[in-house]
Formats: sequence, C-alpha cells, structure tokens
Amino acid sequence: MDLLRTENLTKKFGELVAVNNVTISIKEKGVLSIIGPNGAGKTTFFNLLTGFLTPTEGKIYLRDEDITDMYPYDIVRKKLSRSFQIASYFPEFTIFENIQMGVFNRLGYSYNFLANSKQLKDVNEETERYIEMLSLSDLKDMKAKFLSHGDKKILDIAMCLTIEPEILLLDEPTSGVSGTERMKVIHFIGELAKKMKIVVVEHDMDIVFSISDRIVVLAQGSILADGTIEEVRNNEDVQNAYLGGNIEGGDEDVVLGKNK
Amino acid sequence: MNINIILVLLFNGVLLGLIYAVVSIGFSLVLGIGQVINFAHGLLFAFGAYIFWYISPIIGYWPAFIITPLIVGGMGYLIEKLVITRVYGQDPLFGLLVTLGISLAGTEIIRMIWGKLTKVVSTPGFAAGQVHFANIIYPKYRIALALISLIIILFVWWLMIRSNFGTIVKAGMTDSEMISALGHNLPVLRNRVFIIGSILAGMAGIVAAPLWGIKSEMGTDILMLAFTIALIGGLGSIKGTVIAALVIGIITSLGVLIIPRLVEAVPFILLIAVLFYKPKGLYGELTILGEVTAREK
Amino acid sequence: MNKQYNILNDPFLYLLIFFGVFPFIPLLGKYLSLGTEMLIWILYSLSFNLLLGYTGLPSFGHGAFYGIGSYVTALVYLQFINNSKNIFLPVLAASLIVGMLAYFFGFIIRKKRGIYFALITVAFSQVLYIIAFKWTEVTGGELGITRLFRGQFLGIDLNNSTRYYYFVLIIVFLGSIIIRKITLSPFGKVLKALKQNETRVQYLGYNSAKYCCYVMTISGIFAGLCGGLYCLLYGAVFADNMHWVKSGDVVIATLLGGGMTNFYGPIVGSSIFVLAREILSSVWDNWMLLYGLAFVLIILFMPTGLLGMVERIKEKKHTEQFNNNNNKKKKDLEGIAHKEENK
Repeated sequence: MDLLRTENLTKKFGELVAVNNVTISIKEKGVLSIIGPNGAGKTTFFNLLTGFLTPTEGKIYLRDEDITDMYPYDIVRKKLSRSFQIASYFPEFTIFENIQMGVFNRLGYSYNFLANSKQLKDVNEETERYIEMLSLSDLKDMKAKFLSHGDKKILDIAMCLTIEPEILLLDEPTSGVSGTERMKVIHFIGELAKKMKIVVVEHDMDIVFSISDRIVVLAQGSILADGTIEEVRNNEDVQNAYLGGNIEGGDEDVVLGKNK
Repeated sequence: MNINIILVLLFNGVLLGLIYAVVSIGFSLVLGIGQVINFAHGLLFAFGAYIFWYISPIIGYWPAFIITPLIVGGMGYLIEKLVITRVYGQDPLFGLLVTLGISLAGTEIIRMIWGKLTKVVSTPGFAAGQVHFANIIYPKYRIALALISLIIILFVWWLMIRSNFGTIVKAGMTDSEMISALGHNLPVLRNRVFIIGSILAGMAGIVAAPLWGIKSEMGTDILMLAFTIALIGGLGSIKGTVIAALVIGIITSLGVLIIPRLVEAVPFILLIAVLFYKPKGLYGELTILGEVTAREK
Repeated sequence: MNKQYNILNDPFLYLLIFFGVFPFIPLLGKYLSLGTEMLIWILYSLSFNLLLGYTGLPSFGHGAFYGIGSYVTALVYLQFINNSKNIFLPVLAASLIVGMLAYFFGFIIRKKRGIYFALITVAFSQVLYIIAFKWTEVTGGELGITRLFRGQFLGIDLNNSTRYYYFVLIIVFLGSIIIRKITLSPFGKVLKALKQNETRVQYLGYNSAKYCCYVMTISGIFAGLCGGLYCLLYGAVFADNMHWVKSGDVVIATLLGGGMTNFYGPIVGSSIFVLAREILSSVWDNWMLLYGLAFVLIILFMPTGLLGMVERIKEKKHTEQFNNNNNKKKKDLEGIAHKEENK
C-alpha cells in the first residue's frame, strides 16, 4: 500500500491549469523532493494534497483512503502535516503557546471551554518536551513575531510535529533563510527524515541532491521527470527546462518552464 | 389590478433606480480605486439635499444646482485629504468604521444647522404640471428628474469609458501599483475620484430631495442601499451598477403592491443573497474586499 | 510558569467591590439605573468581544440579538405574567431563544470573514429591525412595548431600583466569570489563534468554521440575556436598538477600552461609554457629534483602545529587557572568547 497516492489530479483556476493530471505514488521510505520552476504548481499541489483546495478532477488517497473531499483539519488528524513557504504561526503567541495549540488538539482538549489552558499538566509536559527537542527553551516565552526568520520556519515545522505526523510536507523550508540558520534547518530536516516520510519542495539544488532519495520534477503543472538523482539529472527534458542544459548545484532561479 | 397603477409604479421605480444609480456609481468608483468603503458617501448625499434646499431660494434653481455639487465636492476633498488618506491600504473595515464616524458626526452637524424636522422642497416653475399619455397622468417634475439623472449617468459613463482619465482610473482599480509605476500620481487620482464620487452623491441628493423630503437620516438610510447596489452590480462596473440600481428601484416600487411592509427589507435580503452566492456581483471582476471566506471549500 | 491563583491579584475582586458599593457612593450612587445599565453593558460587551476581540469576527448586527432578547422578555412576561410575576422565565427564554437564533445564524455565516462577515451581519440585523419596526401587532411597531413593571425573583420584589441593581450585579458577575473562564480555556485559545492565523489553526486539526458558529452562539446567549435585563430595567422595548448603526455602539465601547487585546477592555470601555453617553446627552442635544468624532479618532489613532496602549508599553519594556539580557549574554560570551584567545 502506498502512503500517499494521487490519480489524475488536476486543478484549474478558470483557464489556468495549475496542476495537470498528476498521478503519483509516494512510498513509506525516503525523502522525496519536488522541484520545478516558479509557478510550476508545487504549492498548489501541496494545497490539494492537504485539502486546502478542491481538485477540479482526480483523486487523492492516503493509505488507500479517499481523502479528496476532506478538509485540512480532518486530513491532519490522519497524520499528514504540512509547513508553509511563508512561515505560518501565531505571531502574538509565545513559542510555548504556539506549540501548545497542536498539543491541545492531540490530547483531546479542542472544545474544552472550562479548563484553564495554562494549568493542564499533560499539555504542559508535552509542550515542554517539544520545546526541549527543538532547543527553543531559551525563547519559549518570547512572542513568536520577534523571532528571526529562520527560527520562524523552524517553529512552523515544529508545530507540524505536534500532531505526530507520519508524513510531513515541507514547502520551501529554506527559502529566505541563509547562513547558519540554513544549516540549522537542513540538519533539522535530516533528523526528521529518520522518523517520518518527508516530501520537500525545494529550489536549492545542493540541498536537494544531498538529502533526496527520489526527485519529482514539476513544470507547468505536469510531471516532467520522476526518479533518482542520477536519473533526473540526466533527463533531457529536465535539462532543457532549466537554463543551459546541465543541472548544476546552487540556486537556480529558472525561467518559467522552458520546454521543447 | 389596474394597469395604469402598475405603469405609474413602474415609472416611479425607474426614477428611483436612476437616482440610486447616481449615488451608487460614486460609491462604487471610490471603492474601486481606493479600496475604501466610504460610509460618508451617504452624508454627502444628505448635504447635497440640504444645501440645495437652503440656497436655491436665494440664488435660484439652476445656479444652486451647479453650486451645491461643487460645495459637496469640496467637502469630499477635505474628507479625503484629512481622513481617507490615512486608511488606504489597510483593512477595509477601518475605512468603513472611520467614515461611519464621520457620517454620524456630520449628520449631527446637519441637525445642528437645520434642525430635526423634515423639509419639503417645492416644485420649481419650469417643471410644474403633468404629462398625459397612455391613460396616465404623470408629474412633469419626475420626468425632469429622471432625465437629469440619466444625463448625469451618461456623462459619468462617458468619462469613465471614453476619456483618458477614465481609462487610467479603470486600470488603477485592478492594479494600483502598476499605475504608480507608470508615472501616474495615485494619491491625486484617488483624490479626484473621491471628489467625483462626492459630486455625484451631492447631485443625487438634489434630485432625491423633492421626492423623499429632506431629513437628517437620509444619509445613513441610503448608505446600505448604495452599498448593496454597488456590490450586486459588481465593484467598478458602471453598467452593472446601473442595472442593479434599476432592478432594485423597480422591485422596491412595485413591491409596495405585494409586501408593503417589508419593502424596505428587499435591498438587504438581496444583499444577503449576493454576499452568499455571488460576492463579485453581476459584472464585477474585483474581489476588492479581501478573502470572502477563510478557504476555498 | 503556573502562578497560584491569588484573589488579591484578580481584577474581578476590585470590580465587584466597586460595583458592590456603588449605590452608596455619594452623588453618583443615586443614579442606580445608570449603574445597572453599566453592568448590563459590561456583560454585553464582554460577550461581544468574544467575537470581535478574540476571534476577529466584526459583528455589526449584535444589536439585533440584544433587541430580540428585550422583545422576547417583554412578550413572554406579558404572556405568562399570572400572579407570580416571576421574571426568571422571561429572561431565561430571552437567552435561549436568542441563543438558538444565534446558533442558526452562526451556522449559516460560519465560513464568512472580514468585511463580508460584517456586511452580512448588518443586512440580517437590518431585516430583523425592519420586521420589529413594522410588525406592529407583535412588537408594537414604532411605539414599542411599554409599561412593564418588574416582578419578582425567588420571592424578592424587584420593583425597587436598588434590589434590581444588585440582582443584575449578581447575574453580570456570574456571567463575566463564565466568559473569562471561556477565554482562558483551550477553546478560548483556539479562538485567539483563529484571529491570528486561521489557516494554521485548520492545519492543526481544528474545524475553524465550527468554532465560529459556537462563539456566535455563546455571544448570542449573553446578548439575549442582556437585552432581557435591559427590558426589565426600563420596563420598555423599542426597535431602535436593533438598527445597524446602533450596533456600532457596542463596537465602539469594546474598542475604546481595548477589547482587541485585553479581556478587561470592554469593561473599561463600556463603563466610560455608558457614563459619557449619559452625561453628554443630558448636557448637549447634539452630543452625537462628539460620538462620531470619538469614533473617528479612536479608529485612526487608538484602535487597540486604552488598555491596548498599556499593553504596548508593557511589551516594549519586556522586549527591551529581553534584548538587554541577550546583549549581556553576548557580551559575556565574547568576554570568554577573548580570554580564550589571549591564553
């Protein structure tokens, strides 16, 4: 059984076809990277997988269960989590409170309107555990809006973890992050990959080549190539889609889908 | 049911619709170019009526007709410069609240100057009398008002569709950044559109005054109506606004026959329907008012 | 992290004391109906703030809930007046019926946000206003329902202003405690999160639409209750409280005090609002001019209200402290690094 599977997944916005007939099977093991030019439909694909958008056509299966018409809050409960290109968190909450939100749900306090949210022992312990794990103890009482950019992205990913996902979708986790913070994020992802399935959308080829077991290339909504690093690297279509033939390492800010 | 009564009501409805259209177009334009919900629009409508009522006995009908909109336009200029410029770019809710406050304060100023009693405007000499056709007797004055409204609408339509200015404004509605980048002065543009909107509101007030009487609440009364029509017609679309206005005018007028007591509720019921089913309105292209719902589903 | 509850630190204690002795304050204490109205507004705005300040849903039609609460109370009271004249049932009926209405409405509108949400609340409440205004047979139309004399509760005759004041005080106090509990609960946290980032909330497994429906219901229940208490306060109901412009009153009262950022904001704002309105309207016929100006100035320069400004100052101090600590740490580390180098 595949972990996550799509069949003829298509999304149209009026005339614009953002995701075009994508059929893909994602297995339990390894890190899958999705690459492609800007506007190739990668984020839309994630939006579809997680129930944020309704597909125009096609189906999505999570462990053989049809999740096509489900909402994000249901899909997330099925252990599929997702981070955002622009870090998505609660700016006015402290880091502690940010992490706490996911824990509330998982421990069943979602609709509890009488207990004091600060005094739930099990919630506090769980939250502390996550904060320890992420080495954010120093900052835990700081409002999230004051975090550095890289730390915000880590917070975003951290919140994804609070639902204990089995598969984690990361949307450009290193975008806008540079230097040591970048190393932090990459290292973090590496650690996560040991515990769960990771699907990453990335632009930085260095990272893609160092962590991926499988690469899918998306251009103009369709799958251009799908395979191991070597296979993708040597794929002519892919080479043509990117400027200048060979895919080198480094940040390629590529021209929109320059196909044959 | 007497066909004559229906015809008269129909004409009334058309007249009503035309006046509504004049008010709503101004509102819609400001909303389109500035992304601001101007609740002071109704206030300017009221001022148009009051000022006209006040000065026309002094300087005559037609001079007052020309000067009043200019005064109201001036008021609009001040409001825009002093207040509206501070809320551009923010959540449209801010603009709504701020202009609502202005509307409340302004309504009170009207009461201070002219008192709380309803005023009556008498028919001017040139339009006195009735017109007879098809078994119907219809006041000349109403036809005159309808024609005046129609001329105003056509002029604005020409301004927006045909002139350079109009093209720039139209473009500015869909992409204000681009307009600035092309060298047009966006703040000046917005200010000008606001003044035009204010003038339109003032003129509508002049036209509406003899029909509905002049009272201090007329501003807030017409507000939601203008908004509803602008929304139904689609923000930024003159054609849509006029059609929506006529439809509502006619429904309101004929509605008296069917549900006399709830006629006032019709625009609001329509507003609810539009907000639920077609937030972009009939012809509008712009979802200026931000995300309608939190997510697509 | 978790502080022990110290009643001396609880603002409610002091508020209770203040309002408890209010009738005995020289000069001011004579205005019991004013005090009662203040209390009613406190509960009203606190529950309204659950929508606006906590969840970020700008309702401009809350006056309709309030007004319907008043009407229901009046009508039930007149129907079942019997000899007992017990006011419990009418007020309860108001809360429940408005609560159901609020649930129904909240359900329909549960996915709408921002300006669209605001407009729909205006439209709905205006339709209700028009119905109330025109349905003369039931609501008395323009003339409203008048001359209701307060009955009793648990055998205590409430016709006396002082007794009614304390009756309302108890209800408002209990209601406020419930609302505060809600804001401090996990449910309340979700609401606050919703206001900041609804997408994230959904991605953590919460059905955000349900929450919006529920908070509307809770808010409606209290609004109905307050409408009922108000009806019995003055013994009369009129439709004008349901007009959408009037609904702006509770918005301004909530924002003024700082409802957007602070639980106690509406309490401050309501008290000032009711007091100011009373004083100004008796002094100047055209006081609405000041009201409108206040509206404008608050929105432009002080949208987080009075308590909001206090919060901002606190936050600045906090971050300054934090930065100072960090800088100190950095300097210490640098100092150590230097020493290492120089060895």
